[in-house]
Amino acid sequence: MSEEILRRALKPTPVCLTEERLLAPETDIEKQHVASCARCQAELKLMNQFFSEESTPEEEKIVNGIARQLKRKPVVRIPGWKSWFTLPRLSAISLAMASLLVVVSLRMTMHEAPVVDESGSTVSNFRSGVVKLIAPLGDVVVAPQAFTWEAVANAARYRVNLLEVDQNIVWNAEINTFSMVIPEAVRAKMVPAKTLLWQVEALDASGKVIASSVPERFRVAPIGDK
Amino acid sequence: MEIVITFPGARIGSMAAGELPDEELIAQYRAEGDQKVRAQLVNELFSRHYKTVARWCYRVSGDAQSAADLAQDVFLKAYRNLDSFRINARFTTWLYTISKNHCLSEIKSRAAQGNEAGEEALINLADATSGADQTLERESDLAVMRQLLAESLDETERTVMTLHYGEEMPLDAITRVLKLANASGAKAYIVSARRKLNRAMERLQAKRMAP
Repeated sequence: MSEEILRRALKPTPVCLTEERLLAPETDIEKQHVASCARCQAELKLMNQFFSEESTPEEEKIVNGIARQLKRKPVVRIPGWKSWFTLPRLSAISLAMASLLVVVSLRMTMHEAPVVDESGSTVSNFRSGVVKLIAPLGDVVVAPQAFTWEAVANAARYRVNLLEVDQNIVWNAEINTFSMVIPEAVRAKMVPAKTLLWQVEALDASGKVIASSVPERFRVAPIGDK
Repeated sequence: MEIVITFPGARIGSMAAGELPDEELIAQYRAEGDQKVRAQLVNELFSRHYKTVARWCYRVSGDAQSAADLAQDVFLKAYRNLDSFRINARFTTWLYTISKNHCLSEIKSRAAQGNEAGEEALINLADATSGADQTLERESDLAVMRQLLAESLDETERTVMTLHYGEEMPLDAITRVLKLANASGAKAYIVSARRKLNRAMERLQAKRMAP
């Protein structure tokens, strides 16, 4: 018997239920399908195993160890003044201060006159900040409901651009908070397997761009990957 | 809305974050503007499910270190996709979907580099007795195959076959996830199921050829 035949026969069919509906089929047709479909029954078994807390003592010990690791290193770090004093940050500051000290010492040793910039340029050397995008990023399960990014100091509003991979703008809009609900008509364009880019620009009260993000990719995962 | 932060556990209004249902926590997380409270809410939400996800990752991967990495990835994925979560859905089901898809995709790629292909070849060798599925070439005949699967196999065989061929789950992962206690685990169920299916198809073929 060929594996190909088995694969085709055992793949989910268009009438197979999603995980959410499997737990609570609504119509008689859905209930009958779940009762007779090998794939839906197998999916239910997997879900039961996922939620089952039955473990051997050895498994429980490992699970507790992993849970402790996750607790020590949570996905989201709570921002605070203590988090500012991280080793890499302190190392970078120490290095910068040491370099500055060396440069100042050398200049003092060489008795050089200070160089004055006489170009007369009034253009600020301030480099625009970066907007950090939070979600969506990479593969997502369903079309996202909203775009979310980190707030930027002094930003009066934000412009969100949704782009094709060739950078053509699909949609854009402005908002004064750091999260934007995506209209249904735009979500409808986020079809499975289609990669899109999104980017945010922070604007000050005069409409000048004070920070921007790099375009980030995301896509709704192809049907087979869900 | 009154927000009172009392570390280490955030309090939202008069209710501690720890008392809120998962979906309510997500709604609060979305509505919250303070990054510190948002971080606390999401960590509270995820910490409720650390053990469930860790257990799953361990069963699928069979290795503590891989399981820890997989679990970390699952929560990172969940965090990145939290905005796409529909608030009227169940968070645990959503988390299950992410855990399943992520872990299966990881172990599939690992199995592709390992000896799974060799195991499959052995099963096919044991099964090389019949060309009966030549009668099942057309798309419409898949329904017949599904019927044979339903009628000829017992529940465990059907589940193992579906997970292996439908979900492309490696045999050792099926053995661990379904907690199969027999000596050769899922492999034994695949071999017996395929023998039963071959016999059923031979009977079907004979029936079709009969005048």
